[in-house]
Amino acid sequence: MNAVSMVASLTSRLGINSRLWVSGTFLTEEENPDDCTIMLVLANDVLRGLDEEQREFFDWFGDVSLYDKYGCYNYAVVLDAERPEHERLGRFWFRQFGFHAETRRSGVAELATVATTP
Amino acid sequence: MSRLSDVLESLTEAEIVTGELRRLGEIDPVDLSIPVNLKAVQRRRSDLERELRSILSFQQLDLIRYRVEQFDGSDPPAAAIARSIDLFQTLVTAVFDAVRLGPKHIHQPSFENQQLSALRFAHAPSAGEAIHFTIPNDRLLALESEFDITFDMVFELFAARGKTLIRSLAARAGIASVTAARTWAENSVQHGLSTTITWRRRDEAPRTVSFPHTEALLFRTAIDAVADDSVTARSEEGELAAIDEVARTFRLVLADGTRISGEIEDGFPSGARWTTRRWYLAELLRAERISYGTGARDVRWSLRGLSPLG
Repeated sequence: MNAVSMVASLTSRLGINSRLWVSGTFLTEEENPDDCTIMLVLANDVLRGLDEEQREFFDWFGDVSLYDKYGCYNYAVVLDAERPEHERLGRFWFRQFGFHAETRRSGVAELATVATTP
Repeated sequence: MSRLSDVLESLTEAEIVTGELRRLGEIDPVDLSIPVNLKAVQRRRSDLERELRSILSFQQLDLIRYRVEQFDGSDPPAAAIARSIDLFQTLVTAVFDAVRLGPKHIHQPSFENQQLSALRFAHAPSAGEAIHFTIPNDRLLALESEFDITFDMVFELFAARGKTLIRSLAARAGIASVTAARTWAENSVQHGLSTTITWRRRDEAPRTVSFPHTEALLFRTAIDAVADDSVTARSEEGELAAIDEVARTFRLVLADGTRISGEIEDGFPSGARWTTRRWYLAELLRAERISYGTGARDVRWSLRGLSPLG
């Protein structure tokens, strides 16, 4: 929970237009959930438009594993329907979230962060 | 589907996606998104590897990755893959049996050892994918387990090309294991199979052996060249069944009922009168050749002298 809050508040504070996908037992009724995955998803034009501070955060999130500290797997990706690898990558990441061969169901929470002008 | 199977499938897919992203990156080296996605997929692979190690350690399993390809990159016939796996299993069981009960000349593992050394599918493969097997391996704190020794020996055997090394391994793993390895290699040669086997135990770095079909041919040839020859002098009581001094052949029925036949030695006294159906003390030479490639034991007898009994 701490990791999700931290990432959500940082993306919001830095004004990055992004989506946070969150999955794992964290989303179930299990007591003391011991795993979660956070994916910070950007569109291609957002990545290209990141300023220095935003880019620094995005790179940090992609480089540093939060697993040991927070028990969370974390990934920074670019998923954009305009890009040629979009379908392949989308299928890959959905599988990682437990959606598999149309026979399995899973759940992912999406938190959208939209930059607002002050 | 078990979590282990899930992880293995995800790892396979991550490997494929990594390759695809690398190719895209080569086409457009200044693209910003591809390095980001490549890094994310590689991180995912590393996390999956960590999870895999944890599952194997918790369940006390070893993982064997078995990949078979045709030498030209095409998909091999299913029967050739099935035979390759079957022969690999025979080899593992032969070595395991030798580790537990001592080296054997002929492959005759006990039922218990067959059960204990049976590889289990960890993940159902689809065409072109590696096949994953698990095998329970009880962890011992200080000592190597029987499976540790077994797979060490299997990998050692796969690397052996010289007669001395093959003989030394046969002394520990039995000629039956060497013959099993030769049969496995022969299948690869016949079908043009290139095989890669990776053994992952505990949280240690995996060990891999790659066997292109050309290497399988060298391996098979090396084993075929190994044979043990021995000659022993024997004195045996037996009934002379036949003797032909012109053709220089003889036949004897030994006291235990064994029928032997062979050639008469040059030094055998000629012109003497021998009576068939009579008992003699026969001076014999027994020459034995054990071929490591087939496991066949070829015995030749020669007669040096006969002394009447009674």
